Amino acid sequence: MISRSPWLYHFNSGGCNGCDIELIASIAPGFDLERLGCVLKGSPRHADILLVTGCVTKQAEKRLKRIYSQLAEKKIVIAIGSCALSGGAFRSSYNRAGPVDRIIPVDIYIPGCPPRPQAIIHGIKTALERL
Amino acid sequence: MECLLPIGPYHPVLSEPEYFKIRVEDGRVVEVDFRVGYNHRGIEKILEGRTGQGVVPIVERICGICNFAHTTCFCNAVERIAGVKLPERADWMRTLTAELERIQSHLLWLGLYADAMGFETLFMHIWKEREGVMRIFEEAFGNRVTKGLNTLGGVRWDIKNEGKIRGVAERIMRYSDELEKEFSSRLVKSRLEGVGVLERKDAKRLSLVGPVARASGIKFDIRRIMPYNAYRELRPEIYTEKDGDCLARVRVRIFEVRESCRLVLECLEGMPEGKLKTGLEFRDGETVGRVEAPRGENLHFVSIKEGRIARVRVRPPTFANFSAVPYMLLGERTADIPVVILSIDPCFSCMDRIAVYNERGERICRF
Ligand code: SF4
Repeated sequence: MISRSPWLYHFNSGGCNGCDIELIASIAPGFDLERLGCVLKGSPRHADILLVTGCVTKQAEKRLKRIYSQLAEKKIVIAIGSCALSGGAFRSSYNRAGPVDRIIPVDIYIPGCPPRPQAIIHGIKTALERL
Repeated sequence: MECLLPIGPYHPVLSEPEYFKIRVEDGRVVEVDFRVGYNHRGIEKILEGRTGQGVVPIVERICGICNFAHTTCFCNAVERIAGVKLPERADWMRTLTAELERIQSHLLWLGLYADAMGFETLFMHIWKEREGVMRIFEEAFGNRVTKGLNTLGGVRWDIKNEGKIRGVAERIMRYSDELEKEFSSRLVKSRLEGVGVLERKDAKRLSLVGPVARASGIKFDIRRIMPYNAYRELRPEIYTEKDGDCLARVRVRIFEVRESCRLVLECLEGMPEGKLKTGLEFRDGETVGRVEAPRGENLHFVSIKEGRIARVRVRPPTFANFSAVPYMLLGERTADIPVVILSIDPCFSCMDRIAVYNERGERICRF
């Protein structure tokens, strides 16, 4: 049973865009994430769940921390894609501060490069159960 | 009244991080400054010193939307250095996939653009059609976004779902007529017509590429100027517009969706039988690979020394087009800023190539 409708905030911390478009695809028809009551919001202050994609470049590090601190309470973080999880293809990059869980606590990891929309929806559903 | 309007680096209008500093006077833009580089991952450096097939998946991760254009560009360059001629079927496979990717990419942009205009229903409709292409990719290559099809010396898989590809191409071809109607409705026109105008001479001076240049009346398309792969035989038609405004950029892309559908069907007709790949060894030398990515000319400079990659320079289309944004924005209303910025279809993960440090290791500026 889903008793809440969490709002999402998407943070691209420097990836290849693949995960971001899969995230949007999971909102679009065909997958329709919104049926779980989620909407993408433009401000972290309105959001319960933070979706982080990308390998966290050095420029993004500070900003990711700040956005995490602005998130509404309960602060669930979902890391999407191999590069958010471990660096993926950019593991040996000199400009990488990540992975995400070195910077902010992560609740749910969705692997894949990029993960399929089904996997993203599954991750968000798992987060919903924890809310 | 004058004020400074900061947009970004993380802003709901922009799906990727970048920063604009815009000075507004009486609701009109008078000065624009921008800063990019938040997405810089140092791919060129990661590639240095590597050899073998393992470099292709890294090149693929330059951009999620036009990854096939990047790998094709890179592979074509390395193959040219090695003096390898591709089997014919591999050439055609590359062209087929590149055109499918163009359809996907343009539909993605058209959808996001509709959303930026505030027309969310259209966004949903367009992405529904786009999903058809993504499903083809998933069936054929096992992955929706990064296809993993290209390899140095050919392609890795054959297509198995020809009937389905034909069906989707025909469907989207019909749909593009509908799209054209949607985008010429009175409401959309009032939002886009005459907004963000770029004259032909400015477009020429700024060396623009791709649909943005074509919307300003410049007939420039690498597929025709320097044909590669199967474009040597297929001759894509180039469509140009004269107005150079946001609406013209939309119309050029809608036309290209239709043209790509036609090319996909032609590819399926003309696809020769044969091998998919040949062997390839890294040879020393340097060259430039050029392909027409969905956003315009994509250019890779590749230099190989002692059998290893010594340098790769990636000049993606957004890098060429981005310099035009300040010119387009000048004099526009504040409310039109998002539609103007998005009209060049910016892709910052392609473009963020540099971060500059001083001798103490502090970052001093970003491009
Ligand atoms: S995980 Fe893969 S697809 Fe996703 S942003 Fe990173 S490189 Fe791109």
